[in-house]
Amino acid sequence: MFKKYNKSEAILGLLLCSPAILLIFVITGYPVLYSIWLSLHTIDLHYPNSNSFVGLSNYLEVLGNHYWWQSCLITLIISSVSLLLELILGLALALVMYYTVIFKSLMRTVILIPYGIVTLVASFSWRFAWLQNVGYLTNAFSLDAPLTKRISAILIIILAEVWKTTPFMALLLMSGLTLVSNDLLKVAAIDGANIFTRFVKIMLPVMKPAIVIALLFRSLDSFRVFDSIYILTNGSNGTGSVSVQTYNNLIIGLNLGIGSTMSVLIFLMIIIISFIFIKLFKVNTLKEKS
Amino acid sequence: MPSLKIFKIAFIILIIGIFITIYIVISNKNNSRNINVYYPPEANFEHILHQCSNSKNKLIYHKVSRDSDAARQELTRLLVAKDHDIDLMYLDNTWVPEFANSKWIIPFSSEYQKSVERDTLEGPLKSAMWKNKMYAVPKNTNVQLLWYRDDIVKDVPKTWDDLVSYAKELKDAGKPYKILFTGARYEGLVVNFNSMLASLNSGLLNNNGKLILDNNTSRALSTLRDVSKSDVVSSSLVNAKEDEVRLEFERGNAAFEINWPYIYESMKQDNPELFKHLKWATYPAVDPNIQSRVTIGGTNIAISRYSKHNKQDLLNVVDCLRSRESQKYTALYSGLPPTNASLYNDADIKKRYPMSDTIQEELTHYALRPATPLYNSMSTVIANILSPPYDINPHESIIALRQELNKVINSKVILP
Repeated sequence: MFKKYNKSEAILGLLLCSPAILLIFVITGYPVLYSIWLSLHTIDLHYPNSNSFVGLSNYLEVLGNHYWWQSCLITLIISSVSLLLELILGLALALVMYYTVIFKSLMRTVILIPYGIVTLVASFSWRFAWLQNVGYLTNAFSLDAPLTKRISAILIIILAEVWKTTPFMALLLMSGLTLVSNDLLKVAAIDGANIFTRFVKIMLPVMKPAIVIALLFRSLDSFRVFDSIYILTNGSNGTGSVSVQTYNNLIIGLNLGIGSTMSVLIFLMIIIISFIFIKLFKVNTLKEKS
Repeated sequence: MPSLKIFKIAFIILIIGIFITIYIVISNKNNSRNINVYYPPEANFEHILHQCSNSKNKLIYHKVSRDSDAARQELTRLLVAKDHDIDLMYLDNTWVPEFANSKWIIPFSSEYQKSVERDTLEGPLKSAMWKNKMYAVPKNTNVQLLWYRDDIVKDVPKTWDDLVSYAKELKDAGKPYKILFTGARYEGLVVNFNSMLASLNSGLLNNNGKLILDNNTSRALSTLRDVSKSDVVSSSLVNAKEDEVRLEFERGNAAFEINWPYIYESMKQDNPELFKHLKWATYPAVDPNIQSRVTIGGTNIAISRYSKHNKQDLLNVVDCLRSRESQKYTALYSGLPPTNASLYNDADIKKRYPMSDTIQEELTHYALRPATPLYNSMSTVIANILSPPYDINPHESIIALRQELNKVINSKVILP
């Protein structure tokens, strides 16, 4: 990567970058290393004097625990289903935002409103809507107590997630739409390609980088889903995600060893997801930029 | 250029603002006369703090969350960070071992302990102890009663079995019949299980903190299951917490309710007609030959280890907060039963609380929750194993309890 530059330029470049790199290391590197260190110890704040090095036994404990795998499954279900719905709806909204002829800016603003609302506030309003006896949606669908039953609670969490982040997806996808040349579409139409063919053969391939980036961002984001679950069910009845479980062990249980082990595992899973995405879709961000 | 001038003025205002903020923060920090009390919202608690303030020390009320789990998190977060600003705090009586063992609070001297022992009920006092030292002073206590409607219940059942058969008779007669209690997956379910276990003169932990899982555990588990499985409990039993129980009883289709005394006042306001028939009795027994014991709740006051205040000043404040006068005021105006034994014979209290004799009787046959620093994790685990209560299989539940609770004790538990 330094081939273009001569040696002194490269050194100067590195020197100029170094404060930023140092800062990033201090801000993110230290906590990451500290949680890895914690995860190798038995540290429970209830027993301040009994910390001991236990090697990987915390990892074995967590990986052998059925609650952990249950949370992993729930996280996977919530993030994949919501990702799929967000992609479909986001694409539709992006097309609407991009091709609408009337009230263009009003339309864009309205679509972006859910994204502008703080997740916590949005989750509270969903919770009130689905409460037993008093929630307007509970009454509208004459349900009993949807948030206390596992399947309906998970569906509500997915709904809240989708409602909240579809606009963000649409925004990212719209940036991909701007790459699609109108002339190309017109030529294709003249050549007899119908609207569906134009969409699949021209728009989607051109938009691919934007779609992949949007999917990557959202999948990493939705894998850490916490706020909406915390407010809607607080993880009860087996609806907790890995983040909720980590919070319960780390902050409520004050078990720093087990809790840090979980956060390190989440960190590893996120690395794996990004790796799969980059390999699977052959995204090379550097190449694409150049 | 006028815009530049506006920027300059804005910049100067910003700088002045920053200095004023810094000054306010520093001057508040150094105001050593303020004693910070971390306490949940309680009606008229300001009045008591005002009474206990003097020219030397002013008590500042920092409200922690009303929800006890959230309050515990707020307090532990401050204490783990060794925050000096927290001087006195409220402790739910289940937190005393946890806070004491984590060395977040300091024990009271044995002389002071003796002075507290003189006028305090035994149950609440024990809930403030850890390893034979008193780490907190009991401020008020609380206990669940069996509430019923005297227009349909003529002869109050004494045991859970009788309760179920009585309710079945009412059901057959086409009268309101339901038995309501907290069956949701949370600490309230654990409290009922603990009371049932204590009503067999047993408990989950022995004095050395070792697990006891025997025939009594099995019997308490089957009692809990049989009641929950019967067709006379609420259909929303598995979602029922205190407030759901209260509201369902107020709607009028239940005959019995296990709940705290606060429902008395709210029934008076919400359903005055039904209120006329609201009566109370002691918590049901499991075995007809063994006195029922009920788990006590309540609030204790503790002193933070990290407080920089003069300890004697803090002790004086604690003395005032737990004084007979303060407790009487709290009982009369905040609706919380006192820990001061003599107040149960006080005429004003008797008038305000017609059920005070029953409360006092239950407080003499009290049960405590398992005394362990890990109670919070323990209760989460137990609630998980016992939920839903109608599906309990005593044999399997005991195996699960042994496995999971041993992990809790060894700090190896993984909370769901």
